[in-house]
Amino acid sequence: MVRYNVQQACFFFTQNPVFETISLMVIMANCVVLAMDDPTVSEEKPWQSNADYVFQALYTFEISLKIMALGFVFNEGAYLRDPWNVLDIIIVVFGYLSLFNVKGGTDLKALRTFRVLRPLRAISSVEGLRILISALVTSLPLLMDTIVILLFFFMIFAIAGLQLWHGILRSRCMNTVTGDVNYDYVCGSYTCGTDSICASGLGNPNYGATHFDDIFTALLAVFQCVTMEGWTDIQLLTVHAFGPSAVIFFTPLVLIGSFFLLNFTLAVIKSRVTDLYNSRRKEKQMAKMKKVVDTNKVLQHEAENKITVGQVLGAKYSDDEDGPSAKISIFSRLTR
Amino acid sequence: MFLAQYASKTNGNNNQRQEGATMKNVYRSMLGFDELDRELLLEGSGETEIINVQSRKVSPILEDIISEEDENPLDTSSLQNASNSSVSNCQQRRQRGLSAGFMRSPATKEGQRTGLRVPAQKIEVPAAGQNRRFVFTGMLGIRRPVPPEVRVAFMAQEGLDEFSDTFFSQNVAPLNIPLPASNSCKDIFRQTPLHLDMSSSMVDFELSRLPSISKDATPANIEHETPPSAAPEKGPAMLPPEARQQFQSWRDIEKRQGQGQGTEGTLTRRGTVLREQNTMRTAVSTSVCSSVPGETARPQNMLSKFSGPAREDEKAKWEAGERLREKYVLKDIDVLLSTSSSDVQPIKAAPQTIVPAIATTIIPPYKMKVRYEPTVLPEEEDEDEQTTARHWATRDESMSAAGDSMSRSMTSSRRASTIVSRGKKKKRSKSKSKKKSKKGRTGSESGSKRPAQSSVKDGLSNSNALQSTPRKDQDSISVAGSVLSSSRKSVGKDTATERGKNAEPAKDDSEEETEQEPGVRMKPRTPWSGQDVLPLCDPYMAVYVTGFMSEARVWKRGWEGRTRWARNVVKAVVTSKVLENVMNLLVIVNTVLLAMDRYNQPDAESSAFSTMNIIFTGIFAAEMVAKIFGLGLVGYLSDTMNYLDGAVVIFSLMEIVILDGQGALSAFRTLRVFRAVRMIRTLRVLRVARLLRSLRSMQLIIEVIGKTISSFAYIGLMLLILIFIYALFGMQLYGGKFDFSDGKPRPNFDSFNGAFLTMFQVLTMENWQNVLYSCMRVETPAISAIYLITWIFIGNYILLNLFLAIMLDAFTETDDAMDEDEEVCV
Repeated sequence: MVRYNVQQACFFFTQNPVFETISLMVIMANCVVLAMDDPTVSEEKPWQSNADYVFQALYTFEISLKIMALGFVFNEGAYLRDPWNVLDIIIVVFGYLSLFNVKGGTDLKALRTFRVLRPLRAISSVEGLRILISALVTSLPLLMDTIVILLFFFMIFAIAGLQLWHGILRSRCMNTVTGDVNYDYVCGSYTCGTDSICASGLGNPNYGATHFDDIFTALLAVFQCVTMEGWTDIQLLTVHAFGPSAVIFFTPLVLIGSFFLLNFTLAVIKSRVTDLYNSRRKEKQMAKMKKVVDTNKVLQHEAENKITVGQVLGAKYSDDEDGPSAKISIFSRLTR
Repeated sequence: MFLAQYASKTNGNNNQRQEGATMKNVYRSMLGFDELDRELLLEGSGETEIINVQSRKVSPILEDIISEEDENPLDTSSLQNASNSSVSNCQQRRQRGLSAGFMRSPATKEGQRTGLRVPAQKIEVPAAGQNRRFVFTGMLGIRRPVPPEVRVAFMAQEGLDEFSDTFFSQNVAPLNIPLPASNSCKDIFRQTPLHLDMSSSMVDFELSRLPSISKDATPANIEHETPPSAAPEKGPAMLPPEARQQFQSWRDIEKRQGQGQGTEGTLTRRGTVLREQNTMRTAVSTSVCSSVPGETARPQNMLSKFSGPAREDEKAKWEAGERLREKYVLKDIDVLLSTSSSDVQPIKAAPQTIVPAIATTIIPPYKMKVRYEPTVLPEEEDEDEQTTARHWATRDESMSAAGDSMSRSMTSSRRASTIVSRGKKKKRSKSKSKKKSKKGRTGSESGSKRPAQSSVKDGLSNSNALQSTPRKDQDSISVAGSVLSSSRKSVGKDTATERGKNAEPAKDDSEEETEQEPGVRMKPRTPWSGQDVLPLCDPYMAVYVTGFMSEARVWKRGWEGRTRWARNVVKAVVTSKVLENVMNLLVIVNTVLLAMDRYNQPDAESSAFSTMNIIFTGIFAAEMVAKIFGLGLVGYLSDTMNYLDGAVVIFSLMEIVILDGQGALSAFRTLRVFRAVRMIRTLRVLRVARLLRSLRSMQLIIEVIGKTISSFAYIGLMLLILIFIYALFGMQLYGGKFDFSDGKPRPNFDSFNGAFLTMFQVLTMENWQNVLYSCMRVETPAISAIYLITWIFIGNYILLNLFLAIMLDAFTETDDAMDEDEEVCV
């Protein structure tokens, strides 16, 4: 009996919009505190860790209230059966893990990184965001297909690059007399001057970030080309190292990859959004039609009972209470 | 026998009138100063603050009057004198079925009436007297093409082979006043439809109908050669006893009403005022208001239609009927204009207060739209209808006893008004039992109510039967017309046969009936006057329509009226196309001037520009003020583009005051220290946006924006949250680590601001690979790559594309909706 009442109270409390607002504000405050973090100093300030404890406590309170109101997992509509709540509880649990292990031996401090996910809790609090996310989630399967196609495409070019160009971006001109290395230009196809040889086995360009030496970095380079940011630099590097025929690699990559395949994502999302909106519209229309059908039934009934237009309207007009509003509605209908 | 007798009498009367009717009289009569005081009578009333009538369409006539006026100003009390002093005149009026006394409100006091003065295009009723009641009668029809279904119905009803517009209008015109045989007058009215619109100018109005009881209202009186009361007294005194009684009671009612009592069974009906954007619109509802249903439908000038020899007998028949009709039909409705807003009540039974002719013009748009409202269906209403049927069945009786019909109609209206109070309770329960019980009820009702009418019972039941048949079909408005016509036709036949034989017993009835409670029959059903269609129309819509069709306006006296008049003028100017184009031109010129600004400008040039700026600001400000004045603040703000205009004007004024303020305004110049204030200057550019107003596609874009704005807000919020999370994550990963030998790169993660900005840069994908290189230098390359690539994928490819997707969707939807709208409109 008591438990039932407590549950009721909790339910009432958590379903209150005020509660929602307050929890959202707590999240926002936490965001502010997180944003004030200074990564340049290694130890965080004591007030920040204290604030962290406070937020942790508040989240725990909120979650426990909700669990008390809805039940944990076993009943219908339980707390954990909502994926958003799972997200919440994971964030909170990670928070505890990081707290406990600050003193402990094993270093689970990395789990503190999960604090940054706390703003995500705002998504579950705002209805519009939830709808948005669920719309995106419905588009995920198709999106995954797109990603697979993209990956396949990337793989082709990455393997081609790997086969053709592995290691060639490491060559630079080295002066045989002074031993200076000119790091600005990759050589190979590009001939070094007199007294210079093309030395290989040096570092890759862009601090070792751009090369085709392994499949992952090759994929990264291909992706960069597809995003059309700095792809000309990579092209220039390969032209210098391999020869002008490297253009044959890059032109279709950019053309097909960025103009054609990347826009698949747009198409997929558009189609999903249209589907979603159409289904919503259909629902609305169905509701409307149902209304109309109902009204028609009523009207038919009226007609069967021999009621004249004059009577209906006369009754309407002589009706004191809802007269004016009815009139106005008709007025607006007619003037439209 | 009786008919013939009467016909000859009225014939003589007619001739008499014909002789006396000169153009001057006609004109005067239009203003209510002569015989034809039914046409338009302008009086004052104690409650009213009128005013001047401004009229465009009537102006030629009025000008004539003016010229006459100037020579020979109208005697202010000519009407009164005429009606009161001369017996013959009085008699004449009586015999025309209309007594001058009835034209006046009981509140009218003698000698206080001020005459009409007609300045150019104005009829002015000075406020000097307290008789400021405003009586409009004789507002003639609205000439519009008659809709086909009405044509068909009308032809069926009248048994015509072909449809004639003139014939129709003469029969269906809102007020078919039996004009004198003077063709000129008729023509004048026909050619110059006179509508009075009170739109945008009037205060509350009140509709009242004066009783039509004339002295010779009863058959007994008709037999008399001389009026029963020889003493030429004013007001009720010259009425026959019954009529006087009724008049008295009417008077009482009105008095009561003046004291705020008795809404039931009153003669005065109050109208509401439609408030529409600060504009109070009222219709001067001139109505056929025949107390005998159907009698007004045939004007005298229809006689000309029966010219052929083959139709001679028809003509005779018609003439005979017409005399009667003319005799007993009340054709006046007055409009009391009162300023007392406390009196305002919603129009009850409003459809009846509206010009029937409006119906003919309103039908087409209404046909599609009006649907049954599954609302209250009280039994009484049904009964009311049957009362109408009874009217029909016993038309002769009614004709031979106008008082009878009047009082009967009054009772029915009283009943109608009780419906108002009782209707709610009896909603549903009645409608089901109706089918069965209708006939029985009707019989018993009629029996109980009118016990003396046993002699006409046959006719009654007959018509009831007829009535019930078509009613079944009146389920849609489209068929309403035809049904009406069929029912009326059959009823008409019915009555035609009964005409002769029912005349006698009706005499007795009349006395019985007149003793009943007085009231006004609110909804006289005419055979075809448009009133049957009118209930389908929203009263406000009718008002709206009258507003459009009207040509004359009435303004209040005093500053308020003048203000409103001025507003009207300003509104016309402000909403005109010409002004819009001129303003667009000015905007273009202004834009060119703004574009001519440059660095190192000579002083003379810049001072000239600043002068021009002030001038343009003044023009735009003046336009804004005029718009607000003309349209009202609410009207101004209802157009969203006006927000932009207003903002530009306000900012321009602020700029002038703050940046260039001189003299008294120089105090504001101290605000210049705030550099942000200078940004106001930039807002001048917004003036160019005014040109968007005339872009038609702008509408679509604005609509799309309005639709998508909420979705965009959520996507924006989503993006913000994700940027936030990624920035925090980046701070955790790379915070303070971008400490390279070749310097710290601009996009870094050392602070929240920097991280946020970096993430935004990556979102736009500008030089993101540089961020990638930096990250890969300090962290595991795989983590850095995943970190940035996921962000690019989520942020750029999904969320930013979501913007695009939603906008595309909204565009297609809006386009479709617009297409659909167009189809529907066609």
